[in-house]
Amino acid sequence: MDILQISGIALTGAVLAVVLKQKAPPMAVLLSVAVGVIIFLLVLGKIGAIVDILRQLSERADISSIYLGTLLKIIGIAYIADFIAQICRDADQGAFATKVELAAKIMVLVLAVPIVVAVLQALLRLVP
Amino acid sequence: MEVLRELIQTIIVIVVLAVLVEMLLPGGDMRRYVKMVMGLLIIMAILQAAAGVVNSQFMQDVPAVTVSDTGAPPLEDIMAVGQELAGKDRDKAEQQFSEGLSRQVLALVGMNPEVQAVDAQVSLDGENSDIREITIIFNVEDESGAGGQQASNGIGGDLGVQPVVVDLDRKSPADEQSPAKTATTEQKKAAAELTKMVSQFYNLKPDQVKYKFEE
Repeated sequence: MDILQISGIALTGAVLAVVLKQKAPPMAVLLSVAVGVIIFLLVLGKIGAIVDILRQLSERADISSIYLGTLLKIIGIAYIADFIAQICRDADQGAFATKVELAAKIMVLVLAVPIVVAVLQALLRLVP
Repeated sequence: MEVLRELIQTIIVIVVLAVLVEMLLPGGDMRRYVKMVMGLLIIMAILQAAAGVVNSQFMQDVPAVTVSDTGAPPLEDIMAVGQELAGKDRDKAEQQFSEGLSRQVLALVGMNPEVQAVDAQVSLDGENSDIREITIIFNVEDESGAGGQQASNGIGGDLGVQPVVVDLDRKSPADEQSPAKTATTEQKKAAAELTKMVSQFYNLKPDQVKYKFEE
């Protein structure tokens, strides 16, 4: 029944934000941030189970834990950047949202560089 | 056939893993980037599985490349510190082993009351920590004391009596001390027997165990 709890929090927050947006727009932004953080914290504990399954599958497929760790890091960066960019857009700060997304893209590519190099090396060694 | 079965199983697991991870991907503009990295990782996984089947070594140094972005100190530094720690531990263990052996040799030698050992120096081989040489140091002057104490205790009877040596050729008082510092024949004989016993006890060659007399 967690989904009902989360839906209730989101609906309440939305109604309150609509009301607050007329009278005190800054408070509406703060409320949306607070609701977002609360929902994120509620589902944070359940992510561990998914990560465990992913680890078991990667061990079964003989994939190095470094690769899986990199992939999870990249997914985390993408989610956090998406979350913050959305909050910035809610606060009518589209420029900040774009900058956060740009930073996230650069970080994802930096994390991906070793993997790209590894794939390239492996493919070049395949050539006789 | 078994190898092919293993390969297909591994690829199935990789595909299931990829589908699971794709479900986790965020929406929006970031999805394309994460999907690209995920595709590369799947290529790596399939290549690893294929390399395992053909026993090829072309994936051997791949993990070393990926360690560079972890923020931890370089692997060489960690290995150097680890080797330094291992060396210190080894030296300490060798020192403790040497001291323990020295005490053991002293206890063995102490079973013979004719001579009194004051020290046993054990030198070890550097690589395997084998015993290279044992040098037992006997005290010359305490022989009479030990014998006298034994005689007073009534153990051994006349064994504690030191042989009387009448030296008529003694010339000056300065020369009196030098003959007293040398070990008697009985002491040397007892020391040689003890040395032989120690070499047999530790399964060493006779020339690896030496003795000397000091004041």
